[in-house]
Amino acid sequence: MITIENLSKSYSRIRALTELSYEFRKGMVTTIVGPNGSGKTTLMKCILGFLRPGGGNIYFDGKNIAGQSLYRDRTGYMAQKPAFPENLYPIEIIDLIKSLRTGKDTYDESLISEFEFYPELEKPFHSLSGGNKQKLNAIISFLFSPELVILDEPTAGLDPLTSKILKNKIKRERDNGKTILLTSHIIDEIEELTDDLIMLYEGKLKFSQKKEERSPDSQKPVSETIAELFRKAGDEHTL
Amino acid sequence: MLRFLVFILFLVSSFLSAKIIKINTGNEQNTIASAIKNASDYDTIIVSRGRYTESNLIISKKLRMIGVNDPVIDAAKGGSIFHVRSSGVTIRGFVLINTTVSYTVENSAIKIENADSCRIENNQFKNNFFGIYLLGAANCLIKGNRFVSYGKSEAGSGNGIHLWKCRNITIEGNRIQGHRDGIYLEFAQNCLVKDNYSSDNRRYGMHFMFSNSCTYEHNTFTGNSAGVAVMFTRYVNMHNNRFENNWGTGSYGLLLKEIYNSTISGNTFNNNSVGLYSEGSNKIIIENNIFIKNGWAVRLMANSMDNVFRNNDFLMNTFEISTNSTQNFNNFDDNYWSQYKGYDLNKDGKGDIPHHPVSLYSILVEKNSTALLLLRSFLVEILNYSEKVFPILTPEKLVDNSPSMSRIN
Amino acid sequence: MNTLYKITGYELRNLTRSKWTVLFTAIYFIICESLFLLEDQGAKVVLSLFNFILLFIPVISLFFGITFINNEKPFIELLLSQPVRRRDIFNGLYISLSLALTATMLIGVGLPLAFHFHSSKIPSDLLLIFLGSSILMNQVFIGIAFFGAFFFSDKSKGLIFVIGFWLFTFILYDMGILVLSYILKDYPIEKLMMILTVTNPVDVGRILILLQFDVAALMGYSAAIYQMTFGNIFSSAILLAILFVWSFIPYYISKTLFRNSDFII
Repeated sequence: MITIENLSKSYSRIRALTELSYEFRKGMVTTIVGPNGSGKTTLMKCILGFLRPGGGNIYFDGKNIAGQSLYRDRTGYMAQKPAFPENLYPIEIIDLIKSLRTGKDTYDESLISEFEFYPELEKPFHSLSGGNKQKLNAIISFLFSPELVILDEPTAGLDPLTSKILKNKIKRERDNGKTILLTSHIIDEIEELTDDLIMLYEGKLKFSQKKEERSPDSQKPVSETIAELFRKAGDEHTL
Repeated sequence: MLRFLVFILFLVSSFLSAKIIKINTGNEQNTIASAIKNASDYDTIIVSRGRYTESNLIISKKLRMIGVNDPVIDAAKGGSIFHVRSSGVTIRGFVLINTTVSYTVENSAIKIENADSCRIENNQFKNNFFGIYLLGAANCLIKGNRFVSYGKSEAGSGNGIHLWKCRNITIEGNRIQGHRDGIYLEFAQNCLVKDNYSSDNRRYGMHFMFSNSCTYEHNTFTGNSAGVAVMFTRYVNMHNNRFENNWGTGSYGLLLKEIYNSTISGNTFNNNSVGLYSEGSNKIIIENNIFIKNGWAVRLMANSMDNVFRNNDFLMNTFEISTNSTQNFNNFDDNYWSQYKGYDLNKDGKGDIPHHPVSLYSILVEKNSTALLLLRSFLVEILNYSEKVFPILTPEKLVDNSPSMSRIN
Repeated sequence: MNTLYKITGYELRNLTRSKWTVLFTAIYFIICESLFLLEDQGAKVVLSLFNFILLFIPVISLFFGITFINNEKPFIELLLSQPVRRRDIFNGLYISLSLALTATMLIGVGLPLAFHFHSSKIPSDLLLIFLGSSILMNQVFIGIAFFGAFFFSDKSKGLIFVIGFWLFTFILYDMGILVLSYILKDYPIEKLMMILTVTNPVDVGRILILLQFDVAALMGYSAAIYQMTFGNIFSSAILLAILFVWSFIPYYISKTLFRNSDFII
């Protein structure tokens, strides 16, 4: 679905990504792990086109995304810290985002009802609680049934019940054949959702493991694999 | 009684003997010059419509010169036109044109020399070097004349009405434009200058020196390149005049230099670079004047003392008062200052805190004129404010202790 | 549906609901109306208003502007993840902020002005120049706020930049001119000083005021200014044009920054 080819990116002096190549598979949740500053967010933002790669190419469904914006019609993005225009109501924000998308007239509004978000739709954004802000963020990222969903720490700040609803949603979408990219610091979540796993360390692809490479009978949890990886990398960062 | 009767008879007979001589352009022999030559005292010479090219017409008899239907006398041949050397001469209703520029002789449309009781009325003066020139004249009336000249420079043009060593002259209701000085008085005593309109002259609208005990009132001086100058004089009364639109460096509504014991009241100083400029002038009462929209309403130089400013209105001037001194020996009372920021809690119509009309910034500009570019800037406001709190450079005693809360005039 | 139009519309809706824009409108209104109550001469009201606006507009445009954009940055990111051209996002923000702040001023000041226009005999050319320069000043400082927000990815650096810009254009620059005028006192520096003065947008706004109210004093200063002020309307037009250039440059630079650079929050 997404193919990355020798992707490099540096900010003035710091090299954030170095010659990264990987293919994110359709119908899989790919979890990206790595210590802080390892390049996870940079990678996501390159795929979304916020950042201009310093070198290499990114292909979406076989097409190079350089200079393109229309492929974003088929993506959804859930940022770590949600922020919307303070004085707009969620309903208006949703309407605005809808109007920016081309050629869609059916929307996936299942999360609105599952989150029981209807009463919040007509309150100014700044009056919403942190959890409700994050719910709106999640609603919008799945609203257009995107083929690619990029989730940056999706359940941070959500209560357990809402987290569960969101995780179920992610799994459902994965089963519907969507491509999902995820970063997370929460072990249970990684354990529950991960199909493919990649680890970034200092901007390089340190490790990758496909779902089928993990022997289903070994029962070795993904978290243990990750812990091992971190130890190997000699990094004192904890998860 | 008999003596009186004889006197009356003599008077009547002399009037009966007075002839009326009519001049027109039809007859070659019939010139104004010959008419004057043939006339005797108390005769009237009537000049009818036409163009006469004559000059240096010396009048040494008590004649009445009357122009009917605006006869034009052109001084194309050079010199002055009428040169009056007799008292009791009247000149009325002429159009006098083209006396030429000279750097040695004051060629004038009308020159009156050592004469008494002359009347110059309702004439038009066009393109002349000097308009009316009075030397040693007394008790004359100059009324209702119009002067237009086209002098290109100060040196190349003469004055509209010029008085030298005169007394009791009344200059009334004239309009003067485009001369060097509109009205010029030097060593003139007890003169009255009234209801004149002097504009767009090359130098001063009125220039006034060594002329004690004169009054000028209800005149308008506008757009003259240097305004009005009153110098070296005592006992001048200046009432209800308008000084307007004098813009430029060294341009003043009214310039006072070494003036003593005079009053300036009821005048309007409007839209001048400097409204009133005073240098070495003492004991002047300045009251009930309006200073509006001037660059500097009043520039008071250090050598001006014992002057009183009261009941004046200072409206929308860039600077209200500026001075080059930190001392002050003048009084300011009961004026209205539109820059006053005080309040009147006891409702007596006077502000409760004194007004300092000299700002620090005006002193900066006095010393360094380029600083004027920073006018109304935040920096200047801060400087002015801090100086108000701790006065160092501004004259602390130059203060109005009872500033009026509303306009007075 | 036109995306620029959409973004502008929704952002405008967001801004007009802000308590800040309501507050600004109220401040403009109260100041303007109380000036009319204190002063019966319309021209003097405009003069005081001019002075007030010269101080108030840059403060609002810079500080409200940069805070607004910084707060919007996460949302800008969300917009960037939509199929939208960057140019439309930038222009949408710029236009909506400009319209909102211009509207606060025009409503706050315009209502009292319209109400008192006839009774106070304000000359209409004075009014036009006043409104024109207020609108342009607003644009200049909104442009600077955008530049500060997008040139410095660090929010606090952006804020320091606008504070610095404000201090510089309001006080430091004029101080420099004052000092320079003393140093070069004995040289013919009128034209140089004139040019230096009209290089600073705040000073341009100020000179526009001087041209309306203090020509008599300026004429008392020098022939260079006399030439410059030859034809008041003409020189006012030139100064307005300088303000226009000043408003365009930071807009253009920050737009280019926004389009071509990485977007990091």
